[in-house]
Amino acid sequence: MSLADFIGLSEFLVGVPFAPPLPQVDALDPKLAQVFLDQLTTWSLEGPFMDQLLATWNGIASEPVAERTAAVNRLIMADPNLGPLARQIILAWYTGFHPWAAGQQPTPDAANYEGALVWTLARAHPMAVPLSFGYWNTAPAGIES
Amino acid sequence: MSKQPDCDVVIVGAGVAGSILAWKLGSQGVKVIVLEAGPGKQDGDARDAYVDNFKVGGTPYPLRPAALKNVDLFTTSTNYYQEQPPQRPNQGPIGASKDVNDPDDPYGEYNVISTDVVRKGDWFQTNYERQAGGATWHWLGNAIRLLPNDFRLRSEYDPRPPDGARAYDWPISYDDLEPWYGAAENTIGVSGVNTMENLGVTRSTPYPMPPIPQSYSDLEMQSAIGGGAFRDRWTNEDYPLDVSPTPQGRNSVRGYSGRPRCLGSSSCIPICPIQAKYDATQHVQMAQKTGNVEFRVQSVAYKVMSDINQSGTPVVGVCYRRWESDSFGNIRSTEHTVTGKVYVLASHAVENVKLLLNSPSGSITVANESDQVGRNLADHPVSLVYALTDKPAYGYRGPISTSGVESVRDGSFRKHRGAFRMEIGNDGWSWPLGDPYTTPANLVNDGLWGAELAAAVSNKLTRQLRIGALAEPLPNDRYRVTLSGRRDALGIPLPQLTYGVDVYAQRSLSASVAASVQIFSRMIAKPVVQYNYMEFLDSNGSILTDTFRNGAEGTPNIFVREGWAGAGHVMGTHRMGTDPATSVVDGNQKSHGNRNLYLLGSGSWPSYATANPTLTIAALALRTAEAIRAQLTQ
Repeated sequence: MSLADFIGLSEFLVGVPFAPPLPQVDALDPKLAQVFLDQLTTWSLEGPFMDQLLATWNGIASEPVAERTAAVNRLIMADPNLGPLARQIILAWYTGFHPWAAGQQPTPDAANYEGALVWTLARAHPMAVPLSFGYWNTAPAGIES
Repeated sequence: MSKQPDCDVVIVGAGVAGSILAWKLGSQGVKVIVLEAGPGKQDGDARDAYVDNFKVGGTPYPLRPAALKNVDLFTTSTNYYQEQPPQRPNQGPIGASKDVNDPDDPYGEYNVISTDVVRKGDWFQTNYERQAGGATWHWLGNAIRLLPNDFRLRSEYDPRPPDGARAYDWPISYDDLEPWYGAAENTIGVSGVNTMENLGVTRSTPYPMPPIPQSYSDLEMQSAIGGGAFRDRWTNEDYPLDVSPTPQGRNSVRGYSGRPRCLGSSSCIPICPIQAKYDATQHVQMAQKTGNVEFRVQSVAYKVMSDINQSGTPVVGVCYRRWESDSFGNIRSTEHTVTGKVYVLASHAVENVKLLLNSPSGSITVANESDQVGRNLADHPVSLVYALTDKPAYGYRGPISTSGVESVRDGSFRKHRGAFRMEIGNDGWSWPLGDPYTTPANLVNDGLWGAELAAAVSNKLTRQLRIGALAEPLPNDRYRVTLSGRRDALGIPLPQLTYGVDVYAQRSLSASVAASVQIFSRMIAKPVVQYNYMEFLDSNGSILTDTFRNGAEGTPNIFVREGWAGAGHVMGTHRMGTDPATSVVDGNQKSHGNRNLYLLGSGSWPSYATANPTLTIAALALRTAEAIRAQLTQ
């Protein structure tokens, strides 16, 4: 099971690198990738399928984008085991959170929360992280109001 | 033989009312003992723990309601001491069926709320906290004065809705309270500017700090409204929809009250991580520094003792249980009594009542000659309308709310329906939908992934905006706090709540939805409204919403959340008045029936208006401090 495969699959699933006019995100954080890989493998009900998922990805990763997209839809998203796990990977990156096995929860990790893509895509920042007085009075930096 | 009392003044509860009172009296040399039911930890570690465990209301992380409480004494899922609001079962549309008193009917006019809130259904969607600092650990920070007409609703408008509810005037006027409002704003530290002159709000002192800047979306909304007005359908009168800065207990100046300036953490609730927002732990510490105030934490008052054989039925002591827990969570408690010359209950509108109803006094319970103790339980039911605006709103940035619409808080319509106040959120759809987490999950469940998902998430999150409107109810003596047959871990009866939303407030909610839809329709070229509840049965209240409902087809971009939300404003359970037959306390919050007992907090409010209550609670506490001081020096 390769971290590089997990990062490659994750980036393709979440749409990174973001294309303009979305805010710039060129790559996913490898440290956070390791956290999500470990947490999902350990805690997700579909965690046992992680090896199969990454092996499937490894087999299609070098395809041209159009073929790769079709293959992800056919081999991963439509699969009853791999599809749910892929969607959990997406939500992990977007929100820092994904559905855990019933009754089991890992300790909340601030890195998950602060690294969630929703903050970037909302042109905002992680809540509970102080910035500066009055910034909210104008459009986010880099955006013409 | 009379034993020397333990102190001059006994205060039960170290929330905003109790701690401000303790500080004020302590600074004047009065010896005070404060009993606090919960823990008293108020340092940076406690603050960090709170933030780490709660983040914000919409966080995906598991909420741990007992995070700050080292035992699960007050925070089980089936009592009222939980920080997390009770689970929300199916909630009835406003104005639906009228199966009064059927606790198993979620659509009844009102539900009997037992301690088993999940099974019985819950319409009382408000909570409070039992720890030093009280509910200011999670308040929003809005510090808004009541309006002059809020104190005289009956004499000014005398509404007579079909459910028989009647308004009840305060025994004091705005002018009586005005100096104390100024004092409260100064000691809390309020940033603001007076935008309510045309509603009769006069000021003898300036705000101590300039206003918090309005948000980008506030300004966009104001620009889109372009001077438009809301037409009230009860009177056909127009009310300007001005988006004005909200006065708030949040620093716009570095160092005021020793607090930093707001840095826009966008996480005011449950608590500001840097304490730019006021909370009552500030006055707990100020009270301690006077050297005259002793806080006894983890000390749960359960009985007020009075002497019916003495003139004026004085209170002669408060019984309490001091609790501790061992490392295994086992509870041990010890019995104590504290005595003073004057007694003050400042433990919130529910806990004050619980304590009084558990305190026999001859053939009745303490302070209950009027049978009004516990009655007229109220909250501000909130309508939530949220939209995807055409242009980005850029939410999730800055204090949760920086602006509101004040003009709709008063007018001749109050003869027919309640007023409302519109609070404009900077928190996207966090409150109504649990975003920014829900929308991505919904999109993923719809099958989106990759670049298409990223574009959709960005498109939606940047255009989210919401208005929450606080509706005005009338007093209703059927909505009340009583004692449950169940007891907590200390053997003290739990409170039981019976609550509902009355016709006056339902009409207010209807009008507020219409006004909110009107505002959003100015920000969207082709507005399409999705109503998630039935219109009100009252035809007058539903005219405008029906106009919008039938006006357009297509993908909805304005959404009305089902029912109503709780505001966290528990009020009315020991109301003030001039007549001892119909009220519990007088204008100084002093018990009609007990010459040395005062009841503080929003429980004293005889009517509820639309302002967040904390500032008025603080002003009343300061005013009562003067009355107590005068009584002690007689």
